[in-house]
Amino acid sequence: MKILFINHDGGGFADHLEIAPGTTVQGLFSEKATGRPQDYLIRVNRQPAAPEMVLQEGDRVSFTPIKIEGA
Amino acid sequence: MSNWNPAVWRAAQQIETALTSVRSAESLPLLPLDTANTLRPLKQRWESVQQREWRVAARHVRQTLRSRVSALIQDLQRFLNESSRRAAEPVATAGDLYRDLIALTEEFHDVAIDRDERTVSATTDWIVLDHVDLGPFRIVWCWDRRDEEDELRVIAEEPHPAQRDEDVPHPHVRGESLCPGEATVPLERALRAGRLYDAFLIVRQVLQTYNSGSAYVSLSEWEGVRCYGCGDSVSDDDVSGCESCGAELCPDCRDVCHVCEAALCQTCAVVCTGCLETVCATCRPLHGSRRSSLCPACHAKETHEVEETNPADENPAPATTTSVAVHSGELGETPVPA
Repeated sequence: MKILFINHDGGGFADHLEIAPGTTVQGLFSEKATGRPQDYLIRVNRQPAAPEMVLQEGDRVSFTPIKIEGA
Repeated sequence: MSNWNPAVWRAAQQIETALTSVRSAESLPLLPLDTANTLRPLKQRWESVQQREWRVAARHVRQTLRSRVSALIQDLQRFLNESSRRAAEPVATAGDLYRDLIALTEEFHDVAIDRDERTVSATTDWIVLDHVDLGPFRIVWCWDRRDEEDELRVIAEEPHPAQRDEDVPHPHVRGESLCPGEATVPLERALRAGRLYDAFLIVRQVLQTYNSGSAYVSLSEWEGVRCYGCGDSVSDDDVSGCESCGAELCPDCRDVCHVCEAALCQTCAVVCTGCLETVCATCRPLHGSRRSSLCPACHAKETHEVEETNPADENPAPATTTSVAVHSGELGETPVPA
């Protein structure tokens, strides 16, 4: 199934992604991100999401680092 | 789910129109028409030199033609690459923008859309970094000022700027401009795609993070420099350094050498035991291998008084001891007086 995945870590990534049905937020994080989930603002459809939340077709998932260093 | 908000929907449509027109202008990279246009006259020249059987000229035109065609191929490939990349990022629809604007009201305070000014703005919580309270900040995005310096502004709502620079309300903000640092690329991508919710979140996280290695003013000096003498904070205009040890001083703790006028801290300032004036180490004369406790004037005066009190004699008394060199490494004899 397809979701919109946005990762604001590093150079940023935003595109549709094919994932297996039943994939959880934690599962997606383990696959697509580095570090610890608690170091990120994780939003599904712009709402805070629990790690065990199962993703649905068409979901919008974003990972934003809590610490982003300005200059 | 919140109720349908027609005002927000109208704003979302307006923003979508603005983003779409900008994206249309951006979407096509430059076609290499100038290079292509040089080929026709070159072809005509080739035909002309062939007709006249000018072999040297023909060789030259052939080389120029090959070079121009090679350049055109590279320009065309660049066009293909760039036009493909620019189409990759999906652009927000009015529906996406509407959902972003509604979601912002759940993440921020005082979210406002000004359709006349063409701005979306939101206020963060109070920002406290390293125990320094910087107050809340208002993030303002203008959809009409795409790619301009003031497209995104960060405004201190309860300013507590650095004492040494009032234009710095936050370690990573000068005036109303955020220096996004490692957020530069993801922020730019979010704004370009119209992902307002993401863009505002990114800005907020930058404001909530202190990068001590790259700040306009470090938080350790936010309240000004600490006086070495009394510990009070001192502004940049008032601080001076001890010229002996470099310690930073407020005007009240700063002493001055009365000889050379060097600024001194309380540790490096010595009171002349003669005139009771302050004197620095450099100005105190050497007395044997140590510095005198007197200033140069008092030292000179004392030296003169000593010479007057103990003048040198014309007939010195005979020596009562035998002066014999003693060689420490040798066994020998020397007369010892009774």
